[in-house]
Amino acid sequence: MNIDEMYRLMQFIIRKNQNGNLRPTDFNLIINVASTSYMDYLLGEFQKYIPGRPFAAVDFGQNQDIRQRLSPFIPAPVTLTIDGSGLSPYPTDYLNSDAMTYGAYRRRVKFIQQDRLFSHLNSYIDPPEKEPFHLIYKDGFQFYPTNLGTAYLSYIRKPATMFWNSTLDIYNRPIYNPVGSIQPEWNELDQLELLVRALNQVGVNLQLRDVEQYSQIIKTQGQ
Amino acid sequence: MATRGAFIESVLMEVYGAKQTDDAEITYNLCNLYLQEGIGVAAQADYKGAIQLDGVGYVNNGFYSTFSGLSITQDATDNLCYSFTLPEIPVGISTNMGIAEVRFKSDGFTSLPAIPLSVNQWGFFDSMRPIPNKILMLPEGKVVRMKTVLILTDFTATVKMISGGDVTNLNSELNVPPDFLPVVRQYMVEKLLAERSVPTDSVSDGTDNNLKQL
Repeated sequence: MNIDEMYRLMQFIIRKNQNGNLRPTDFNLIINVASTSYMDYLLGEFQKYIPGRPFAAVDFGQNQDIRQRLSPFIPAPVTLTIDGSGLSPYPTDYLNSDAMTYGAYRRRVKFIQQDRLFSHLNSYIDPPEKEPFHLIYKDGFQFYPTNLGTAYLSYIRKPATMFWNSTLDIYNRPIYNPVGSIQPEWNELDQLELLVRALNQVGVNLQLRDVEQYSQIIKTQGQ
Repeated sequence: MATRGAFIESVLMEVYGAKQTDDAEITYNLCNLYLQEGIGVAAQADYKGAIQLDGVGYVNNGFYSTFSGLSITQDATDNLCYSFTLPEIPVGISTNMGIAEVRFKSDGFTSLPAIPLSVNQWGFFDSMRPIPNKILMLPEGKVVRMKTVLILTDFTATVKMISGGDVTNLNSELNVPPDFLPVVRQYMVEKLLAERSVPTDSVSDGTDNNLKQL
C-alpha cells in the first residue's frame, strides 16, 4: 500500500460523507502518531509491566517475527567513533539501541545504568579493560574504558515521517500527488496495524463509536 | 577435551538455556573463578573416592599439570634461601598433595625432586645440618621456598601440581579428567543459578532493598 491507498482506505472505513471528514492534514498527523504508537508497541510498552516483572506482552527481540517487522528500521551496524573522554553521539536517526560490540571479534559492550557505574569501574573480576561497557546520556553513549576508540552499534532508527502530498483541482479539492509524498516504510502487514491505530484516534476524535469499536476489534482479534 | 572457554560456554548454555544475550550479567571471567573452585572440588571428590574405594588417598594423574621455566629468586624471609612463585595456589588436599614434584633445570641438567616439608617440619629441619646436594622445599600459598647449599638462582623450577591448566587463558586445555567434569559442571551451575535466581535491586532509590522487598 502506498500512502494514498492508506488514506483512501481510512476514508472508506469512516464513511466520511456520513460521519465526518478526514482532512489530509489530519491524516498526515495521525498516521505518523499511529506509526510512533506501533513502534512503541513493538519495542515493548512498559505500561504492560507488572511489579518485579518488567516484560511487555510484545517485545523487541522476542522472536524473528517481531524483528522482521522492525527490519525496515534496522540499518547495517554503524561504526561509532569514540572521543578521548569516551563519548560518542547518537546517530541522527537513532531511536533505540539493539546491540553494541567492539573489536575484530565483535565482543559485547554491555549496557549498564548509572547507579552501577562505580561497581563496574572498580570491578576486580571484570575491569572495564576486559569487559567494556557503556551508558546512555542525553547526547550519546559514554564508553568505558574511555580509550575504546570505536564501537559497532546496531540500532532501531526512526521511521520517516509519512506525508500525503496533494495539489488542488479546479474545485479546490485535494488530489493525491505522488511527487512530494513520503511513502510508508513499514511492511504491508504492519501498515494495517498503523491504520487500526489511526482509525482508533479518528474514532475518538469524531466520537464515532462504530469506528472506535471496529478498530478495537481488529486490534484485539486480529485483522 | 574442551578448552576452558568451551567448557564455560557449555555451562552458560545450561544456565541460560540458550546462548547468552548482551544483557547477561554472568561473564566468562566470573565463570573462570567458579571453574577454579570447581576443579578443587572435583580433585577433592577424587581424593575422597580413592580413600573409599582403595583405602588410599590419591588424586588421579589426569588432574596434574607441569609448569616449567619458573624463575627462582633469593629469599630472605624466615631465614630461607630461595623461592619461586607458582602459577596458582595449589589445592589443599592432604598435607601438600597439591604439588606432586618440584625439580630444577639449567643448561639441560635436571635435578632430582626437592624434598617437600610441611610447615611444622620446617623448624626441625632448619636446626639440622644442611643435607649435601638435597633441596628442601616448603610450599606456602602461592610461593615455594627452598633451602639448600646449592646456588639455585641459575636454575628454573619445573612443577607438577594439581591444576586445571592455564587459568589466565580461556583457549587453553581444561585439565580435568572427563569423568570429573560433571562434578565441576554441577558446582558451577549450582553457583550460577543461585546468582541468577536472586532478585536484584533495580530501583535507584537510595535504599538497599532486601530480598523481602524485591
